[in-house]
Amino acid sequence: MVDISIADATVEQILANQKGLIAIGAGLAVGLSGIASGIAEKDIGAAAVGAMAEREELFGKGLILTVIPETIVIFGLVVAILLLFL
Amino acid sequence: MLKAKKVSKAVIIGNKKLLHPTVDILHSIQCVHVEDFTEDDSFLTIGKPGEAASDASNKLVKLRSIIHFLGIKPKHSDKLQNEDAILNELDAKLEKLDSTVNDLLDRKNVLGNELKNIDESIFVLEPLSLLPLDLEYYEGYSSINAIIGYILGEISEIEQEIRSITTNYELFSSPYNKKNVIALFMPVEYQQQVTDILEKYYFNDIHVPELKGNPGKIMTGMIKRKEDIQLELTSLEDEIADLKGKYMDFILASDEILSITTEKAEAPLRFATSESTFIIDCWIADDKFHQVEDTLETNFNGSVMISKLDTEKEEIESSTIPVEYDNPGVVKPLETIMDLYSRPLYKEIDPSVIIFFTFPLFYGLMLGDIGYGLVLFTLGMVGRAKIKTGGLRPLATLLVYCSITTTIFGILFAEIFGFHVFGHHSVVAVLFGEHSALGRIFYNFHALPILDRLGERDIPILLIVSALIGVVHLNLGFILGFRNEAVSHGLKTAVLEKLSWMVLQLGIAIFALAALGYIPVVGMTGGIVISVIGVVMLIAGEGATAILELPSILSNTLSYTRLAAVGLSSVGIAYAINYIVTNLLFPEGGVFIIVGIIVLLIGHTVNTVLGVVAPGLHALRLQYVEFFTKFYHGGGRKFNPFGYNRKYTEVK
Repeated sequence: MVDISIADATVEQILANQKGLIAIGAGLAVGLSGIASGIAEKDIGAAAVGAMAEREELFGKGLILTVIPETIVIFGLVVAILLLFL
Repeated sequence: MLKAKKVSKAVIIGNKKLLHPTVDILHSIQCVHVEDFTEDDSFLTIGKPGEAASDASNKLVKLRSIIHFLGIKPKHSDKLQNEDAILNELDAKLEKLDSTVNDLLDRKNVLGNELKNIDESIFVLEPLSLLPLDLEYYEGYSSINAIIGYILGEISEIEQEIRSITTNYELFSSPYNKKNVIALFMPVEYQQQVTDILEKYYFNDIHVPELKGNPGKIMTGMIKRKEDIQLELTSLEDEIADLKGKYMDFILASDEILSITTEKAEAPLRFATSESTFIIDCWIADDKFHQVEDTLETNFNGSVMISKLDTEKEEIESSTIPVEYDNPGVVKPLETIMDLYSRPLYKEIDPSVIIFFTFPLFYGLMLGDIGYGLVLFTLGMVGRAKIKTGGLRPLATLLVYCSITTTIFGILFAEIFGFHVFGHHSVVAVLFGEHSALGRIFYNFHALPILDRLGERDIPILLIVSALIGVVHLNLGFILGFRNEAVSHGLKTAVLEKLSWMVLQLGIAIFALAALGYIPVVGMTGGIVISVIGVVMLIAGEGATAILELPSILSNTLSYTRLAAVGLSSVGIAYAINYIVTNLLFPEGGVFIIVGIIVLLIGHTVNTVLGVVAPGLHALRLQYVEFFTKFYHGGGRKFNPFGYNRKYTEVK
């Protein structure tokens, strides 16, 4: 590992460093919110499939309920986009 | 448009003798939604089914079992058959078909059973064929015990243990399937001791079949017979397929005719009758009422009467009125999307027309790519050509609508499979050279892309545009909600519950504009005041719990940023595939060019599939979750006209 102390670093190095941190932040935003969506969706999805087995016409409602937590990861993605491009 | 088709409640009354002719006529005109009569304390009782009912339903049961046996599925038919022609030969043909099918079924069962028996025998004979004994030697002893079966373990060890009891025995053995098959003969008196020994070696008994001769030879014969049976079964399947091909049209047509006969004959079970009259409680579309009235008049000369109740005056509960959509043909596919959620109530707005515009718009904005648009267009058109009926056809049509908007937005974004197609970075200009004739044409479209999703500059604009689309869409929802509330609960409720949200938004907007410096600073105070007025109205309308709902206005609006985000993720995948192929694989040359092409094909196929699913679901969700919650109740009953949509037959 290259040891860079802030005092010795050139402006380019500091900028590159910041860019790296931003990228890590964006990755965390998408990744963690993705996990959160997954956790939320797994229960709803299982219940929706159960309901559909009982009454097939519930497919539409089940689908909608299942994708509701998808918003979490969309927000994560939006945050990541804002981090990277603004 | 926007409203369900106008229907009125009507009552048809007539002489009981005319009941069946009336049913025939109502069934053929197919525009009356019959309400089932439930018996109450009055003198009215439900009608009796016609004589044709039991005969027709018997035949129908027979026919359905034939359909099941032959594996006939409903299909699309271009040629309609004459009902009378089918009826003339129905009984004879059905009888013949029934006996043929029964015969085939018997033969199939006999062969199937024989096959099963042979398989069971072979299972037993196979191990026995390894021992040097004929089958008759295993049975018929009085003082000798024959033990035949499988054991685990070394034969020599077992033999040693047996020898410790007696030397008076005969043991045959052979390894078989990781076990040993043995035949042990010994005097009856040692049975208990031997059983104890064998149990230690997990002895498992074989039941010797009552046959004579060499098991190997018998087995060979059986295997030959098995092959014959399989051949016979194949030819039987061919016969069944022939029969299916020959009678398919007849069977489908007669199933339809018999279904119609039963439906008509059993219809009186849904009507109220007195000693000499019948009463049909029903709904009729207003534009069809005169047609029904005239038809009844010309056929019965006034012996059967119809009279209309005024729905407006009668104060009928909206949820009990059956709903038939009233939309132009192009909007029809969107009704499937509505039914997937719930049919609108009679008195509320039917938003099919609005979804007709917004759903493809959202979809196109998300996917926005000329390449994917054209692929989806092809898929949709192929789907429409292949699927003539059923629930999937509207979805294929919807895919065509969405592919058109996808292509339009693709042109605005100047994207084709994640490459730029117009302007400075045009993939055409790169491939053919900027100064080639073709390259220059694409290069010269400087105005495009309007919004560049592949660069950094335009992405914040795209996010803001999507949020603004959200604001418009949400407020459209509030306006529709205002109208629905005004109709069902009066103007005051509508103002307090729906207009309040719009006032609140206005306040927030003025505050934000002032804070950002677009309007004088005094606007900030004004904005806060207007917002507070909005909140107060809301609390007056919905109670204090409405405060908990307040953040939803923010999260709902932000939810529309998915229009940009889902699109960017799809572009991101396409861009990544293209980058890997053009920058990493192609420059290596040689075999990497082929690898690159494979990556390109697989990658874009996967992205197309994702491109159908993700924007579709998210566009749908924005309608159902964000838009519908502002105004829509749903739960309407389907207007289901008494009659039958003939698919295979016609009446001449």
